[in-house]
Amino acid sequence: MIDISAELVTFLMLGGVFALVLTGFPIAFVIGSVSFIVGFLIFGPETTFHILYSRFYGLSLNYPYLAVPLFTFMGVILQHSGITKTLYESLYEALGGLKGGLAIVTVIFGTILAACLGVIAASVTILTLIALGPMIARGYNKPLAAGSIVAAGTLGILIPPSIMLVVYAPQAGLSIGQMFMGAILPGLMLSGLYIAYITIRCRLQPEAGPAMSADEITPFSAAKFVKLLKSLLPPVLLILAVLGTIFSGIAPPTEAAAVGSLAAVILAIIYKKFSWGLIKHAAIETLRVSSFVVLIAALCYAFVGIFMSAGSGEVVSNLILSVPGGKWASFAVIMLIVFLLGMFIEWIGIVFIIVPIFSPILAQLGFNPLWAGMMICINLQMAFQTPPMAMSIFVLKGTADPKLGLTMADIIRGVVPFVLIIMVVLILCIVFPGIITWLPEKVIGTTYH
Amino acid sequence: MSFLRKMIKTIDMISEKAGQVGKWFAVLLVLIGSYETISRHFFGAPTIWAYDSLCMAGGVLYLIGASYTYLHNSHTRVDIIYSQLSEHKQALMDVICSLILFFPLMIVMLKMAIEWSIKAIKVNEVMFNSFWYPPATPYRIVFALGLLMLVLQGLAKFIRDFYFVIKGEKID
Amino acid sequence: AKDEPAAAGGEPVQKVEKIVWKSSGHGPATDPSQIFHDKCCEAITLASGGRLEVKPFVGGSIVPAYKELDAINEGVLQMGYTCPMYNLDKWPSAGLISSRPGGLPGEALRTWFNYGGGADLMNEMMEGYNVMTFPGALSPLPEEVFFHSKVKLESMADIQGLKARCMGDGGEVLKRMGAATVIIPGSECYEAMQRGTIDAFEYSTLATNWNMHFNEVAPYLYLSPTRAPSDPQVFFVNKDAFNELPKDLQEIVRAEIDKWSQAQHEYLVFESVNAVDKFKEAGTEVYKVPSDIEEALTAEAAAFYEEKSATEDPIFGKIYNSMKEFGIAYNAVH
Ligand code: NA
Ligand code: NA
Repeated sequence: MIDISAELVTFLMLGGVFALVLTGFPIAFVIGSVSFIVGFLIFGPETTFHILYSRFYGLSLNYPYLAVPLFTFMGVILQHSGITKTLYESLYEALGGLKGGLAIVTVIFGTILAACLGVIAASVTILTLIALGPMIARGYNKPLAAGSIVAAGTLGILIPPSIMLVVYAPQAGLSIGQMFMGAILPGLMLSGLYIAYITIRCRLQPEAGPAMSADEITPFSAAKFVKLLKSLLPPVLLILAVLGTIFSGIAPPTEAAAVGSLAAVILAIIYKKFSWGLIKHAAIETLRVSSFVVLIAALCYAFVGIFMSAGSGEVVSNLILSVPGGKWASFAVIMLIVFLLGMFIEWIGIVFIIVPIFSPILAQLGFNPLWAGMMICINLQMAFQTPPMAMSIFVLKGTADPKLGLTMADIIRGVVPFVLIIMVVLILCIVFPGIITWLPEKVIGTTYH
Repeated sequence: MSFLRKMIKTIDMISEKAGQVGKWFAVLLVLIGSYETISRHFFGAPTIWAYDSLCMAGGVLYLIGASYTYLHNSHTRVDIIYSQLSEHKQALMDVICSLILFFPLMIVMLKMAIEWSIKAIKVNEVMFNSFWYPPATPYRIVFALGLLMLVLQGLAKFIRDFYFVIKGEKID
Repeated sequence: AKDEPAAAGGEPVQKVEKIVWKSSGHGPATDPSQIFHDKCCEAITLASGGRLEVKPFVGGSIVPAYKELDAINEGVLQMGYTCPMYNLDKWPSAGLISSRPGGLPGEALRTWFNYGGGADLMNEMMEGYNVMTFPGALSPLPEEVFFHSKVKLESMADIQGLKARCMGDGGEVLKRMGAATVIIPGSECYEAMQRGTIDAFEYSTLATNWNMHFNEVAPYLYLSPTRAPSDPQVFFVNKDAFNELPKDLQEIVRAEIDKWSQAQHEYLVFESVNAVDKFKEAGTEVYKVPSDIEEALTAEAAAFYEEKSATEDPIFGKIYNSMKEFGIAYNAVH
């Protein structure tokens, strides 16, 4: 055991993770091993082993995190049952005649998917598979097409149900239901502003998102309207199954996620898309996704145990509280740290490491925990689209048909305006905190316990 | 070499099988969660076992899935630099990282998991999230098994990478 | 303390070796038990002149919350403040010295623990572990609220099928009495009530529950000293760490723990008294639990524990009977 200052430990642990994740080794093991090595040095083997094992074991039995596998299961069923394709086609027929119409359809489609799915990859994958081809085929500006897919797909992680909120809430001592409610308006606002941006841009620059030609557009008919309504039915049913179950008091979020999965299977049966292969595929995907998510979560949880035991929590907290300029300056520093971390590290790692450190500071500064938590989650949602570590961009690039000729540069250029819009929404939420707190207060009551 | 080849094939097979068996715990989660909801809400008959069963089924899913996920290289990497490296350098990087960042941590976790499984048997450990008080030993053992398979899969991956680094060709 | 060579000035300087302990409450940071735990740690550091520095940690920051005792046993922590109940995983009888139906209320419980052999029995229960406690280390909480309820409880009939969130042995006893007991995390109570997932629930003491704004979701508040007469918290210390302390520091540890555990009890009683007024002012109807429910619960709890005494290890019956006998004697006086 060696005696080193808490400041140095803080530097070693955070710096160690930051440097070693760049080796490209799975981040779960990097984070676990940094805590293992630093803990070994300062506390010796027994203490370190006990902290790491007990926290790993404890987290593996965590009840709220069961929403991770359950929402994943639901998402995969929906993604592979083909139910969503009909919805896209109907929207396409209804709005394709507008300038930038297909990009707008992408955002609307992404927003509806977001309310059904909680795992990021699912939304972006579906959007890429269904919406990218038609946009590029019609001569859309490639960055605009890619940007709208990335931005709309990432809404899936913010608009409930959302794995990010499920993971965040218990960490910060907030209820998942409240977080879900708090995310709805900011999510819809983002979606609305994305549409506004696309509309304005395509008005000013019609070649960026050409409308369908007159001979392609069939007049809007009752039959088309009925088709649109019909295609909206499955997602609406699923949204009702999950959010309805939660908000009508039938079950808390974890069980609602189970009900949602069951509902997705029933929908697949009704729409004749059911097969045992579908269930098997959903199950193995669920195993894969939740295993890596929870392994990172568990080892981050272990990391936090060593970090806190070493007194590093206090170091970070003193640093942030000593920023001159009062509570808003401290808040700005926190948001900046989250943004910078989000450029380089996976969101789960960030949530598990920063929430236990930042939540008490935010409370001490007097911020409403729900509001502050949602600000961090909106910020993290942006992290999915900020390179170099940008999950949504990776998924889009990985799923896109190479024949479409979409380059990484196209995607990154396309994402920039949407990231700026997220920043605008963050500022709006500071000026009008009600965007976050109004709905939870209206539906659930107070938001401060 | 044929022994090594056989060994890593066997490990792969174990991880693959583990995933194929473990995946049914995802289905179990859906069934238990839905059953509890329906039983409580529509029949006024909540169970005392759903809560703990859900927690355990989830734990089994993650732990049994860990080696499967490693086999399929699905544990998230920050591959900004890694993806730019040649295949040979990637293997070298993984060899070095495994020695420092994987084996010490995971072997210790496995050792602890075994010790705590034995402890659980000795004291008849139970879980007390609810008043169902199910025994904790089976879960403690599955937890240890999951880690054992993960360590084995790590070993198989290490052998593959090491062979490739040394010989410049794939072992299989 | 080691003797050091005389310093330049002539006077011999005693170099005192500083001992550092880590101690954890079971959190969260704003919980009175965590606050009084932290105060106790600071007081020991101060009273020892810094020779024994006890670093306080919030529950869950080092090991998962409620797993403090395992960490004390392993020497990861030297001290901890937690509910005996959280050790039910290894000691079934830990639940007896905890929040449980038919248990001893505050003052009686502390008296039993300090003078009636309670601390000794607890040490006996923990035999083979590197963990100890001592008289003065137990802080009874004021009786828990029986239920926050949406439903008016007038007789046993109202317990039948009542969707109630209750944990621990109390949950099992109420289930035997016909309640539909629901198991959900405490943080979900507020919303589960509001949305009708549950009709009634227990959570914590009046003061804590007031801070959770439960008046907004439950028009009725039921008080009774039967379901959970007290939910005690106990300071546990690592045996080796304690035995290695010089005698004077041992005394400081004992004295400060005694002082702060008693202080917490008084503080919480005071807060609970205030909280009842606050609930009433906010329009909550506060009632005593109807006597037939109380009697049924007491009888069911007795039956439950007698059954358990027969099947569990002998220490279970020993603690149960010791508490029962002390309760009878105590009630004869009061
Ligand atoms: Na979503
Ligand atoms: Na990023």
